[in-house]
Amino acid sequence: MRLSVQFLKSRFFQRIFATTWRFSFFFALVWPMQHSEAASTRSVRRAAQLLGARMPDESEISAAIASDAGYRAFVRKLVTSDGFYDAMLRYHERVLGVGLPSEYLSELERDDLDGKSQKVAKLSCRRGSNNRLTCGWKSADRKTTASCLAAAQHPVAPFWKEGLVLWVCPSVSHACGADLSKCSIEFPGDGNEARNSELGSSDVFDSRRSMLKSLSRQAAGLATAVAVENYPYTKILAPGITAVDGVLSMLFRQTFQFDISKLHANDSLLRQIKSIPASQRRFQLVYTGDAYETAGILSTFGWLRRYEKNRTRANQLYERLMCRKFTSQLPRVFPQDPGNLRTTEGCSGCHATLDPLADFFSVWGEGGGLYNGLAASREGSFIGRSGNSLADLANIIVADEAFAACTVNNAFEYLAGRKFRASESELRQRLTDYFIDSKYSFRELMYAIATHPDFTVSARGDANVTDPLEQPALGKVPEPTLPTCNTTIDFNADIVPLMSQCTSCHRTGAPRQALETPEQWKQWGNQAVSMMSVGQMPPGLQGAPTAGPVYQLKEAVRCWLAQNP
Amino acid sequence: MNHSRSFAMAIIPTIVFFAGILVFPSACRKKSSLLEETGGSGTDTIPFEKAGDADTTALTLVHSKSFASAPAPVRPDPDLYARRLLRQFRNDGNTLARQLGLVEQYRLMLGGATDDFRTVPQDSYDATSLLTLQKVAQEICIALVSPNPSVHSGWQSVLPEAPENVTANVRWLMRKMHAVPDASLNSSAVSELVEMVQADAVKGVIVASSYITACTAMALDAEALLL
Repeated sequence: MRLSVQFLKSRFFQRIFATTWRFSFFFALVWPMQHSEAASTRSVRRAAQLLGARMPDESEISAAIASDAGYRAFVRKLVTSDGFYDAMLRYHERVLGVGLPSEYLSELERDDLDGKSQKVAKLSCRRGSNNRLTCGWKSADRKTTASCLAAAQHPVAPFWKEGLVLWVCPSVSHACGADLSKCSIEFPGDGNEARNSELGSSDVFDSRRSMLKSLSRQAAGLATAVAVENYPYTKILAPGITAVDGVLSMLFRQTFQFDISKLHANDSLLRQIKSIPASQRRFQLVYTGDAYETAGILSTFGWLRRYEKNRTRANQLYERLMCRKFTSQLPRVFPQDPGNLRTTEGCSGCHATLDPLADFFSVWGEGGGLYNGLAASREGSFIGRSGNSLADLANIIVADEAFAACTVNNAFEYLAGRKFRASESELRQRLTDYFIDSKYSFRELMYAIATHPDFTVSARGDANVTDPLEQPALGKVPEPTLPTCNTTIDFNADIVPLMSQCTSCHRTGAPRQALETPEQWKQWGNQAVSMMSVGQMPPGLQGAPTAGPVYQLKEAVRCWLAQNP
Repeated sequence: MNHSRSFAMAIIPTIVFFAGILVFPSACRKKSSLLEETGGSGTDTIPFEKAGDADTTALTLVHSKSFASAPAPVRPDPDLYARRLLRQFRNDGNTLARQLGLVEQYRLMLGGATDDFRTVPQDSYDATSLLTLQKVAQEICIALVSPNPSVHSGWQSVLPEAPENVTANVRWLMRKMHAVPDASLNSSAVSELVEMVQADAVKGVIVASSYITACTAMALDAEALLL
């Protein structure tokens, strides 16, 4: 695998490198100065690659460089094309950083299906000398055994490629279904081809590889589906929302092969995925009803298993969703028994924030404990607000402007190839306001950056930003323009009549924080206003309220709090 | 005689295939068994309001704030490099998957991510990734301009003209691989690449494989390495 010294010395290598660097110099320095239209050609190509996962063709380039309107039309076409899904799936894989080693799939497998360690639900397939594809049972000793004569085999149409014909014994189609979707498939002789196949494109398929990939990508798939379908980006953290593609749907259905209870799939999910065909390549959003222990990407298997410990989960979300890092200086000498890290000097700088944040995840087990079902919840706190479930945490995150600013940070870095500079704080703020005003449309955020006049220049700067813009500040409510409080609000006259929208859950004796008295509203009112502002509360609200009883309550409480500090 | 043999070769598999369908009518349904079992009840409606659309007035306000410096170069994703280069010219299918399988062994050296994402994709180049890129580009160029029937079944050379029409082929490859309009191609760059093709003539004759070196050079050009 290593490139040999001989290769490096070869005439071929030297010739290519000499030519390459001559061209590089020409294209990087001379070409942009000689050709004024090249500026936008370069940005057209970048936009096509980063937003459409492809190269533009010549007619697209001509149209896009001809005018500003032409370029905007091209970017609009990209963000509404099929390629946008592929580009955003990869973007989210990188931003969320989720991936799983193969042993994590083995953990989900049932060990002993028939008491003889025979995993009978596995099929080993091959291409015969006459190009005929056949599948037979694979036994635990890795020998494939065909349980019938070739003459008894009959054709089936497998789910992974339309129009493909495969020959199997009757026992196989009986157990695995007419499309073989109930069994695990492998093509040992064409392993490389199978591992690199897109669903629907190749004759061969690798169940394990595909399942692992889909499990790993579930969080990225969820965020991508939210972006592509143009739901508010805050919904990537919504309780009860998840995303499933055909391969995951197949995994959830192979209950004899996998212990699905380890994936904490509720009845609603199991019912709904039945209608997602195994051949479906894209992740599709599935809403399973409000479940306080879930919060979109944070409760996907890929996130919880990849980031095994509660502190890791908290640290990763702090970094990836809020663009903030725990950077306190470590103590020079670690005490042997530091005691409570939240209060010990030298530790509390990080742990006073990190640990209460990690507590939100306590309902989910750590490491392999994830498979043992839900545990007791613990009260956590973040940005001065507390709660006892992941749904509460999600509400706190999306009700803080740092979430929007961080999304802008990530999107800008993806498209511009560098971080914001310190002097670009106003640019980030305007993009953040635009993102919030568009009701968190991720698609429009990408469009706004890609059509920025400075994105389309041909010049290229330094990727290494020595003066980066500071981390987004915490504690700012994402509501850019607030109406003036013209009238004096009376708690009993203006708030109490509207309060029942909250007190059905938030009442004395209920598990949730009571919101019945003026004192309770004074203590929790700001948090409630934040949650109502972004449409997180009450449950079932469709987006940020702009009119109606929830909006009236939110405004009444906001003004009452301002008038009664 | 020949006609009847080829007729028999064509008709026998067809008969066998349709016999299979008749005997086992359920076997060739395209519908997924998942749908069959459930009656296709569908997924529940997503109870969220959609986000907003573009607001041109607000966008003008955003665009009035300038970047402090130009965008930086972006390295094309090393995990997707081979697939995207191939898919510019080839459709998805068995041969494409097989070709990707052949270069998969180079992916990590190219700077790709590990399966568990503990090693993240590189966003810049180092010597190893650049040299590996050359090897991968060479493999892909072989598959593009001079495919081997035993490895790349069903693929023909992508060159639009006969191999001896070097300038036209080189210009076409440059346009496709760099996404540059024909009018913007630099004549001295074209000439150098043409010379490169001519230097690789086989016994004095320009053949498809003569383009491999030039194609690799184009794949390694700054315009292809960075966006």
